[in-house]
Amino acid sequence: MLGKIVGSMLVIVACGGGGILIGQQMRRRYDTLSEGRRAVQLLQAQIRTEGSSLPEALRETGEHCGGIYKEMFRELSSEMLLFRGEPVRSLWGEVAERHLTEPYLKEEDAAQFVLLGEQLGMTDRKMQETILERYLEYTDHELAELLTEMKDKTRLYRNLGFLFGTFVTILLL
Amino acid sequence: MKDKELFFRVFPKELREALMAVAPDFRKLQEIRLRACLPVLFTYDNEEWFLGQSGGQIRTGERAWMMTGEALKEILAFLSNYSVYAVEQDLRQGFLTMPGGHRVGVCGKLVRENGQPRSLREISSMNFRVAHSYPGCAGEVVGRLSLLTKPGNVLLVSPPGCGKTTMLRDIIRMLSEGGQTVGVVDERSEIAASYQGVRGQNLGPRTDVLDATPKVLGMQMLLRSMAPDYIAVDEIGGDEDVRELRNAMHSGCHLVVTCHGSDKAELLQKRNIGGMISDGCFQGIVYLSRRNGVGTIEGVERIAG
Repeated sequence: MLGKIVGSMLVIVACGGGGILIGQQMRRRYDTLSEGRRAVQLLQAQIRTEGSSLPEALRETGEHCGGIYKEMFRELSSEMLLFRGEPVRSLWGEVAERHLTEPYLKEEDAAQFVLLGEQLGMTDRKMQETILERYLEYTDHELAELLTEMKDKTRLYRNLGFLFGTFVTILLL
Repeated sequence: MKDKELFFRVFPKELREALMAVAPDFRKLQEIRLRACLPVLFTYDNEEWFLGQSGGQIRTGERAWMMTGEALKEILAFLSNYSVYAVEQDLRQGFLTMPGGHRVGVCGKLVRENGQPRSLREISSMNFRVAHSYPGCAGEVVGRLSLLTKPGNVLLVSPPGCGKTTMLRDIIRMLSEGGQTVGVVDERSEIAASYQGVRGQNLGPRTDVLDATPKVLGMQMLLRSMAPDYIAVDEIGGDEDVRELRNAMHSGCHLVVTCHGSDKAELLQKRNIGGMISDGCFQGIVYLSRRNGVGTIEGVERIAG
């Protein structure tokens, strides 16, 4: 009997945990996109006010941001300074592909970041601003949607998880 | 990093390898011309060649390496250190300067805003002019004009691509090493080849360089702050340039300047510089050509004054 009770508890906790995990994934995507937004804002400031070259601005931004962007920006900067003769878009794409692999990120998140890199540094100052703004608009939109979604669904996923666990337990008993 | 590597690194990988193979002696490479949808041309050891589509140098444009607009775009990205926005001002003037002082002329579509040029886009051609220094090439000029013992104003004249800037650079070095303080206004970063504050060419121990500064403003700044014996300026021509040169001259400073032209008759027809020559402002005029290779001294005219 004790075995059944322990087993039932484990099933309920596991399913509830699964629900919580789905909620956590949303939270992590939110944090990563926020960090990306902050990083791009820093990059924008470096370019706009300091007039830094892109590799310089990326290195400097990498020093001041966190998460996956820290390492990614540093790597991009050093890869650029090697002048291997590869097009910017493929260099940016390769580095982004290596770093933006987290399962909680949507394909569109990585695609938007790659799109940003394809055009960054290739245009005049005005277009540059537009490209950066466009990426910031994307993150703003996604963050706003995520925030609403998190409010509505985090509790829902957790509760559904526990309920599903209870349901499985009843079936098993 | 060697000058050669610094120069070639701005080309896409395949083109870079092909160009490096046809220019084994970098000192003999003079010019590379890239035009969208047209063959790649280069001048090596005073001879013009097409770059073959599978490498090598060929005489005719058939089977030549065809340049693409996309590749020109990439080159612009490499040239600007992936930061086209940071070189907008230079682009508007139609040129960029590379580390090493090599000048890249750029053509494309000029974007205007409120009647003013904003940027250059749809790049259609590029002309890489390789800068070389030949220490001692000005020895004959400096000797014949006795510049080290009897300072005077010197004008270097030649059509484009005949070695004016190279000669100017060596005169500056010789004057500086000979004890004269020289102030250089290096509007296009070609003379001193300064890159991130470090001088890429030897201009001697008594030379001060105002980098990327407009000529008129630069001359005023040098006169006010550096008390030079000589002021050196490349490619003068405008009314304001000449006015400021006269001002410098009257401030007790000597001049070494260059301008486009081929002979004295042509120079005298030019309102600005012609006026200075007629007024006896220069004690020496040096004519250069590429008759026997770049930097051929066609004549050194010494004017008593």
